[in-house]
Amino acid sequence: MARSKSRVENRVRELRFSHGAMTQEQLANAIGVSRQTVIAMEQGRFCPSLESALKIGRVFNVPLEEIFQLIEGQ
Amino acid sequence: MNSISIVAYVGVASWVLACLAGVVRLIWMWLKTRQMEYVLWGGALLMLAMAPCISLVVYANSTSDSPTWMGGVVQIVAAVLLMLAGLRQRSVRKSPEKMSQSSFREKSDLLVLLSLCCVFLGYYALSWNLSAPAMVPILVGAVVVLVVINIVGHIALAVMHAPMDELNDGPDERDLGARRRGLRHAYYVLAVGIWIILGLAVFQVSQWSIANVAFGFMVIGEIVNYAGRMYHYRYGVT
Repeated sequence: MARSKSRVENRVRELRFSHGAMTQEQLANAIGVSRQTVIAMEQGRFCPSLESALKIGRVFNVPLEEIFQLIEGQ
Repeated sequence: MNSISIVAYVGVASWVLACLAGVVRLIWMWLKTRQMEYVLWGGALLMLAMAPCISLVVYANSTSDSPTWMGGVVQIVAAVLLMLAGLRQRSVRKSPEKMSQSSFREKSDLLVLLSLCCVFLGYYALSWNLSAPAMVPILVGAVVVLVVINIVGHIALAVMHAPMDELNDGPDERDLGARRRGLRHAYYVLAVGIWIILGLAVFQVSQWSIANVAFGFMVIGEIVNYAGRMYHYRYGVT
C-alpha cells in the first residue's frame, strides 16, 4: 500500500486572536511548552503531541477537529 | 616590580567607591521593580570597579615600567556584555515582540555544532600526518579550546537571551523530538564507523590510527547529531 503524503494544518494563531488576543507566551504556559514551540506550531514547523493538542482544545474550549485539519496529499 | 604613586591609589579608590555607589543604587532599583536589567547593570558596574584594581596589581608586579591596561581587559569585555544584555532585557520588556524567536536550547545546539566543526577541523588539519606522541598535545589543546569556547559562549548566549526567565525552562516535546532525531542520524554514522574500524583491524593498521579513526567517527557522529537537531528546529519536527 503506497503511503500518501499528508500534512496537518492548524488554526492556533486564529483561535489565539479570537480568545482575547492571548499571547504566545500565555498559550505556551497554559499547555506546558516553550513560547518558541507555539511559534513553530503556528508556522506549521511543528505538529504537537496528542496530549498538547488536547490541552490546546481545552484552553480554547473547542473540539480538536476545529483546531487541526488533515490535508491529504497526492 | 613598579612602585605605585599615591595619586593612582586615590584615583582607583574613588573609581571603585563611585562604582559601588552605583551598584547600591541599582540593587535598590531591583528590589523596587524586580527587573532583571538592574542586576545585569549592577554586575557590569562591579566588573568596571574591578578592572583598574587588577590593572594596578598587574602593573605593580610587572618588570616593565610602561603602564599596562591588559589586567582589566576581561572585566571590561564582561562589563560591555552585561551592559548590552541589560539594554536587551529592557528593550524586550518595553516591546515584547522583540523577544528571542529561537529558544536557548536551539542557540546552544548551534554553538556546540559550530565549535565542534571549527575545533576538530583544526585538529585534523594540524595532526593528520603527525606521529602519535606529537598528536596528543594537539588533541588535549583542541578539547581545552572546545570547553572554553562552550563555557564562554553559553554565558554570552544566556545573558543575551530575552526574556531570561526562559533559561530555567526544561526541554519540551519539540526539544526532545529534535534530540531524538539528531541521535538517530548520529547512530548511522557510528554504525558505519564501527564497520570501518573492523576493516582497519583486519588489515592490521596501527592501534593509534584505529583510535584516531574511531575518535573521528565519534566527532562526525556528534556533528551529525547537532546538525540533525538544527535541521529539525529550522525546518520542522512533524
